[in-house]
Amino acid sequence: MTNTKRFFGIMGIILIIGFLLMAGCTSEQKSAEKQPVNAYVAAGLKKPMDVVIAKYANETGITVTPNYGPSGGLYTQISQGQPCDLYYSADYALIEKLGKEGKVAESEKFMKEFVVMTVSKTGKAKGITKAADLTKENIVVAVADPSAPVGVYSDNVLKNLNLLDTLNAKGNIKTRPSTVNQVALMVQSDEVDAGFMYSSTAVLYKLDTVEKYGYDLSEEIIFGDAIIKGGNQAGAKAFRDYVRQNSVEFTQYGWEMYA
Amino acid sequence: MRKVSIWEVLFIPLFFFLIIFPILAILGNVTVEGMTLTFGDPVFWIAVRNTLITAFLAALLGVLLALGFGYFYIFHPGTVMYRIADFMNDLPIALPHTVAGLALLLAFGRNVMGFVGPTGLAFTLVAVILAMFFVSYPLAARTIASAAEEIDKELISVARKLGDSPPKAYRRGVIPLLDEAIFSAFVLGFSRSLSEFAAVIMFGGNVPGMTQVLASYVFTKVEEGEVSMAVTASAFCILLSLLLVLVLRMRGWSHARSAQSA
Repeated sequence: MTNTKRFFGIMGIILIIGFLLMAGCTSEQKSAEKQPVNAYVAAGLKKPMDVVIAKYANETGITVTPNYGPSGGLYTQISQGQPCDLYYSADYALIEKLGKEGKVAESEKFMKEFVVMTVSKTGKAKGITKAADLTKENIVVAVADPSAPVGVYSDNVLKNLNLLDTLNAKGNIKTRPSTVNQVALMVQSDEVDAGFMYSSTAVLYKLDTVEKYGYDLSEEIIFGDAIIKGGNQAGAKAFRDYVRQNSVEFTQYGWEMYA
Repeated sequence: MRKVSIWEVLFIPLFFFLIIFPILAILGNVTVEGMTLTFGDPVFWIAVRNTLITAFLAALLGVLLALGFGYFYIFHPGTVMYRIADFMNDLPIALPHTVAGLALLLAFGRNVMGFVGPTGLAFTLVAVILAMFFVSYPLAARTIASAAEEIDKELISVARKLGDSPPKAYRRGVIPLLDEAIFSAFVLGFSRSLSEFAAVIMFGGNVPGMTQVLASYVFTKVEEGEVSMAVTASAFCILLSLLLVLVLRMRGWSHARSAQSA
């Protein structure tokens, strides 16, 4: 009996201390320039962004906390009011959508991306060199789910080449993973013959690119950045400019700067 | 007036606020527009059919294996096999589910199981069942094991002395007593299977109209921004689980009543 009482007593004290600590954290004033930046970043940018963030922390002592995820999911989080200072989206339309909701202080087009088709070891052996080869018998194709922007772009390419209906009818599209990285993993581990992804993803995973598609087929694919209202806007702006100065970290993976 | 314990004071508001309220929030957000869009979508109905078949079979497979684990638990708790199983049982719960999907893909994909078909077992409804089973089996195994723990050891030793072999004693003496646990294990496994999408997307294929299930349908609709359709499909999922629990409970009640009157 006394044991349970003591247990609740201790738990109560821990709870109170916890609340005090949390309150302390939020009310603590850091100097304006050194405030950390919350960056929501499209998952595809992870590798170069991690490098830039580490460099930035070294040079300025400012922490940038990245939250990597699918652009659409990040959009929903920001739109629902989760604290974010800077947003990098793989789809500029999402930034325009946020802008209409009055969340964006400032935004710009950042980089150009392209859809490519990559083949695996087996795919290569089957002689796949162009998208039209995918309609042959017994070909296993991975196209990202349309819930990811890359899935929509890939669908556009196949639609504009008049291949999508045939592929669906034949059932050659065997899998629709939810992210571009999953497509890349499947090609890399030779579980599929061919997969559609961004050119940067293909470089990152060291895959065999056999075809690259222009904007006439895929539609424009523009990565954008947006400074979100209500948070650490100055810090976000400083980091965004720093990212631009270090664009070579990104272009080495096959992205092209927008301007 | 009876004394109200601290547990009641804590439980009732917290349960309603943290568990019931979010579920009601989904049901409350169902719109007519979302319903017409979703119920008019043939892909949705194929996802429903796929879900019912695969989750049912995954839960069945889970209970079957869990009963095997229970057998080891009762008759061979000292063996190496039992220790390995006991130690590894909960691993699938701790694994992030995209990792589970990747693990299944690498294990049952065409590089290993290529003789089965052009994609191995991956990207088929069988893959969906395996993915659901992989994440739901630990729950079934724990349920059966903790019920087996309650069984009177005397009873088993009597059956053994009467000349029953362990399998026979297990089938005739133990399994009937596990009735309630088997039921819980099945419901838990089925519900867990209903809700799984990460492993299912990665390994099952997620092709709309072919291998897509309800959970990945909902996930896809949320990411596409089709929130009204996602909400409707989720509400459908909730009602489906409720219905299942209700049907199985009713079976349990009538069973209990007939046992009482006998």
